[in-house]
Amino acid sequence: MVRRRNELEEVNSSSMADIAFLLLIFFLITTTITTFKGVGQVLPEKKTDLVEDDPIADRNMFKVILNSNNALLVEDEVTKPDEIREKAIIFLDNRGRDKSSSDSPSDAIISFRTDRGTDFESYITVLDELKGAYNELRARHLGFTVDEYLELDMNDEEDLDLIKDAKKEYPYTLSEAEPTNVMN
Amino acid sequence: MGKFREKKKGGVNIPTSALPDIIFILLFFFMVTTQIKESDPKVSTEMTRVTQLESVDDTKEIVNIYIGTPKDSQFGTKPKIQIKSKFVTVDQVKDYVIKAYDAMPPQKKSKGNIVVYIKVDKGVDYGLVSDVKQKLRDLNVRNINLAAIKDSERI
Repeated sequence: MVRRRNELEEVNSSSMADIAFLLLIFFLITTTITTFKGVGQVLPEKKTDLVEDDPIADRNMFKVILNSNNALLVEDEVTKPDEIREKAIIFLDNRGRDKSSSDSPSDAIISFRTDRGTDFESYITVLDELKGAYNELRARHLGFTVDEYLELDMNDEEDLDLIKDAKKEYPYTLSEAEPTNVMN
Repeated sequence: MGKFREKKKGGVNIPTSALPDIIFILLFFFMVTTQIKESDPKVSTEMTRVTQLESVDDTKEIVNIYIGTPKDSQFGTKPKIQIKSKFVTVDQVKDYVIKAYDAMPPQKKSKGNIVVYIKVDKGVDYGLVSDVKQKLRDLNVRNINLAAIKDSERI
């Protein structure tokens, strides 16, 4: 059979769709769109024995204690988890008005003490509320709602400036003490 | 009447030549978004509902750790730590983190670029989580994320 040069051979492609379908179904089944979401934390630097912290005035310290019975003690008062955010906001944003409370948001420190026997659920709920207090103050500082603040994009330059500004005004200073050892 | 018959005879041909292309686009979408699970958790990981959720920056190296009680009771009823598909002790956690660090591409090889994503079951005592955190702190791997899901009823 003589073939002319300009006549192109055609590949039969009718089964291409079937092949693609098979691959598609394979990926459809194996796909799990995973989103890594949670409560972020930056751990403090490695312990060094030499460094001794400056003494912190008692009024600048917001003491949160969560014991092994998951009971919450905030500034020596028994508190429900859903009340802690309001208390933390009042404490952080005191700015020296109340002499027994913090001097300024950057001086204020939240001290969070837990026990080894504390349930993780209670731990993270309290941590979440404390984070919520900071986020609410930051959002308020920028004139946003909390949801709008949380949706700010770290990779966007304008948003990043806003976040930096809010973080400068309300630095996150949560100190977690090593848990005490009362197992139940 | 003649016209009517004519219609019945001729079948309508839908051009299907573009079908493979459409399927390929779908295929590529799934190929790109797919992350094949490296392991299934062998421990219970019922997550807590929280309000202040943060997503992990997925340009960073993510190390998964599961902490919970084994689903299969032959492994006991005490909470265990699982990395990849193995149960590990608190001291072994650092081996896996170092392994992940060593496997990182040189241009972004830094401990600041590792995020340890810890999925902890609701009922686990905090002590075990704290031990893991302490080990990570000793390694100077400081970015962690405690897995949780959105509580849509609270703000």
